[in-house]
Amino acid sequence: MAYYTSTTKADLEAYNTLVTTGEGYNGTTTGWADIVEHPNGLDFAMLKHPNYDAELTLEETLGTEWFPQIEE
Amino acid sequence: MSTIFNISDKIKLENYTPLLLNTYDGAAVAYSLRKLDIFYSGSAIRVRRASDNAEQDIAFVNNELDTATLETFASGTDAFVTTWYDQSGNGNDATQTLGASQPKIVSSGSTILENGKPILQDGIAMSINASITTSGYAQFAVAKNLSTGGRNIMNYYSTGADRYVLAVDTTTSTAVFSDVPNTQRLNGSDFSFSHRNIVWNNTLNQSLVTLNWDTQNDINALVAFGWISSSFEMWDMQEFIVYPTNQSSNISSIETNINDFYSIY
Repeated sequence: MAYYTSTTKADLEAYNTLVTTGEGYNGTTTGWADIVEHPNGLDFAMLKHPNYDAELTLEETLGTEWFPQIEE
Repeated sequence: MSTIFNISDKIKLENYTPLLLNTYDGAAVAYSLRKLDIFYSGSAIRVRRASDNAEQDIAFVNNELDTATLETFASGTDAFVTTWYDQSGNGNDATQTLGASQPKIVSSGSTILENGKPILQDGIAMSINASITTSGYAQFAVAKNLSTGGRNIMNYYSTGADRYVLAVDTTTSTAVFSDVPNTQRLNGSDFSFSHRNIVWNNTLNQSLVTLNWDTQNDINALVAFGWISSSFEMWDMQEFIVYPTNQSSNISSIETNINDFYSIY
């Protein structure tokens, strides 16, 4: 699964709106995807929809550094 | 009044074969693509078809998912599950409002099957708004892991700092349990966390995973079935039942009921 990344959260919110509007989601479905926030608090990502492109950085996958470790 | 209902139910049961929840009642949540309670009159799932985003509830026929209606609705396209209805009677339906995270149930017009039975595919990430006070915890999950990478988790949250999980990691070195179940079973057999690799390998296939605790209290927020979306998306699932009480005396019988239907092991 490919992801778009950005240092600007609004970029990804706009991408979510783009997909949501383009797909015409309604009823129970209210949006495309959640924004994933990097633990550093500076980077953000969102799953790419296969039919919608954006001028954002595309990553083929998100590294494990994006996801916090479960406490032991 | 309750006596009247009990007698009524007993009369009904004499005319029908009881299902899992009729024999082992008291579940806190019960999700399945088969009917679990002969008296449950609701639907199994609500689906969204990809072609136009229309939604429809899909019920049961002969106690199994009505795949004919499902496929007619999908009309040759894909269909995704927006709601997995709770059959426990507690109204704790599982929902997913984001298109990217809704599990797929129909692919190109055909119901997705695992071992001949419908399965939710491409990840289970559904929210449940539940407030459950428990005196124990027993979980029965029919699931299949999709990935050999990342974390492999089914869990049950209380609070962020007080979580209860069944988990295996990419290695065998990480213990992620805030409590230790007194019973952990995979496909009807006991396993221990020292053998997490066995769980990992086996859950790449359709598996029945059972957990049972003696005590657990004040479950405030139940989030099925993982801790972040990347973990959810590794699971396909056919059934997920949680009892808020210790089920030690019933585990084997419940597992048998589940396995009789799914033929897992």
